[in-house]
Amino acid sequence: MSSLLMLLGFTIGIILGNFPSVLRPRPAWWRWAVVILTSLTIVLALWPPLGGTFNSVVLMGRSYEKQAVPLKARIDHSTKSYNAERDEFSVVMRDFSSEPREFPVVFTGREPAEISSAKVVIVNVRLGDSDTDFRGESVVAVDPSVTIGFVPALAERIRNVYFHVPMAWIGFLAYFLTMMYSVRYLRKRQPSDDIKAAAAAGLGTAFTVLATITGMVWAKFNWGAFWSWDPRQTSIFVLLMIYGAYFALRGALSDDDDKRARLSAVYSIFGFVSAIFLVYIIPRIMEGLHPGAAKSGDMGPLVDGSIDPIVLSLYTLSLMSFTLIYFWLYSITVRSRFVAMELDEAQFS
Amino acid sequence: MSIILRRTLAVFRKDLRSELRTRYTLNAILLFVLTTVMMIAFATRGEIVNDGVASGLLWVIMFFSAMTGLARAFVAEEERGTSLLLRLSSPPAAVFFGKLLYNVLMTLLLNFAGITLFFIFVGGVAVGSPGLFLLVIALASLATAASTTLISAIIARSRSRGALFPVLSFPIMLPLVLPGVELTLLALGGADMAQAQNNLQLMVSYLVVLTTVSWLLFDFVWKE
Repeated sequence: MSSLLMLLGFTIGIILGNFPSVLRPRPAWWRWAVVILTSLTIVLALWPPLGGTFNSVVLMGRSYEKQAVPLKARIDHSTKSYNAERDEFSVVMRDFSSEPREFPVVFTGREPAEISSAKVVIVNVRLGDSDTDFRGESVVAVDPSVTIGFVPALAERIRNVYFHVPMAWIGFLAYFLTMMYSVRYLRKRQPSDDIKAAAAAGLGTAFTVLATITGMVWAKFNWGAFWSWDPRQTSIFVLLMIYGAYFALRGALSDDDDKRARLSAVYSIFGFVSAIFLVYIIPRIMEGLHPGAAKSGDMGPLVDGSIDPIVLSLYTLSLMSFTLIYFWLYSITVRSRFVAMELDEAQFS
Repeated sequence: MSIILRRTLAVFRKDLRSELRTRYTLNAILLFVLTTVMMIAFATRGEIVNDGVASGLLWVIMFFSAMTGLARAFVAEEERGTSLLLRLSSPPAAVFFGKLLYNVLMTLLLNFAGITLFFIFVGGVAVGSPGLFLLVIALASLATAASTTLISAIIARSRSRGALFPVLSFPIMLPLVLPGVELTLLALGGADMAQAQNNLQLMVSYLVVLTTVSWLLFDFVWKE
């Protein structure tokens, strides 16, 4: 079900990206729509607070650092009580997990002013001495409209999922399009297909570089090092090498347009076979740090649908808007190269 | 089909005969393999080479000998100016499989020469399960030849041939190198077939896919 939603977002992005025609200037409404969607993506990726459950408080509380977790919960106002002797305020909260749990949360001092009239709050909660002793620290948000699910292993770093994963997917989409146009060039020998293939390869490389950079930052803060030759890091590195080689080959064949188009088309098809193994097979057969690696016990939360529904919808939105950006860039690149080709022909004729 | 098979063998025999007649290239490449092994032997002199390092070094030797040995297949035709005659006399499939066969033989020879030299000059490395080890090296040779034959045909048509060949080949070979290094490590450590199964399947499937795709694409490189 969840992969269906993502696929739908991706498909809408691809269809809308090609609408009305990728070889025409983009209509004004289209450009505005993309600008608004992308801004919305960035805002929704960075602004909503995280909201965890009592389970995540316990999990993080048992860890060495005993970190505080933003807990999203409904307040039961009838249970408010203030213990003057210990100067503690306590209230029962009910979290939003699939099997909701209720616990009293204890604050030092009197009732925090923000929560006096709130129905739902997000408060930083730290685990006390036992697994049912919850200590409220500070109020993060009151009656939030959108919250992102709290994942103990990721915390705030989950926001990178809206940037890193779409870049990698779109990069691969671009390489797939390179392969498609290369096949079409070999069948029909239209120079326009060669231009499209090269443009898609260039943009695919740009998006893959962005995926690598966002991934490196993520890896530094999640795994402790920018680069550790995880199978997926290896494969994205080699993916970049394949298309680096593709452009090196095009450079070496710059004297003859047909030969360059033909041989680089052959190499891009050949390289794509390697890319399929590198992206889809090797990271799942070998053990690694990425989700979905061998022996990690799952396919990766985005693919098997175990992820928070809000995170999934935001991911779908960001996938769609970055796909649209890709097709916008692609349209500009291809049209400018067509103009360059026509100018060349006009000069020589 | 039989005519293609006959022509394939004819192309293979022609390459073999013209190589054996002078042995110039073969000698040069064997000396290169020796140089690579010597380089490694001097670099690791006095060090304890454990299985992990040894399997990596073996793949370094195999990669470099492939990069010097296999680039020649089509470049030689272009240099001698005989590619037009070959194009006239044989169907593309026969040329491709003839060259592939020759490259397979060449890689097997180079790899086994390199590995023998490695075990002689870099001491202290024992092979735990020789059967698996031989299988892995043979499979690696086949797959190396399969992944580089089309590329040697591509670079024969371009300028700056020497530099391009490893650049184009390495990313294509990497899906082999990753399971290959692991398999070599397993074989040196004495693992059995069951432990190696996953990686072996990966290598065999990649080998089959590469050979098929190369064969399908070869026409577009070979024909003017």
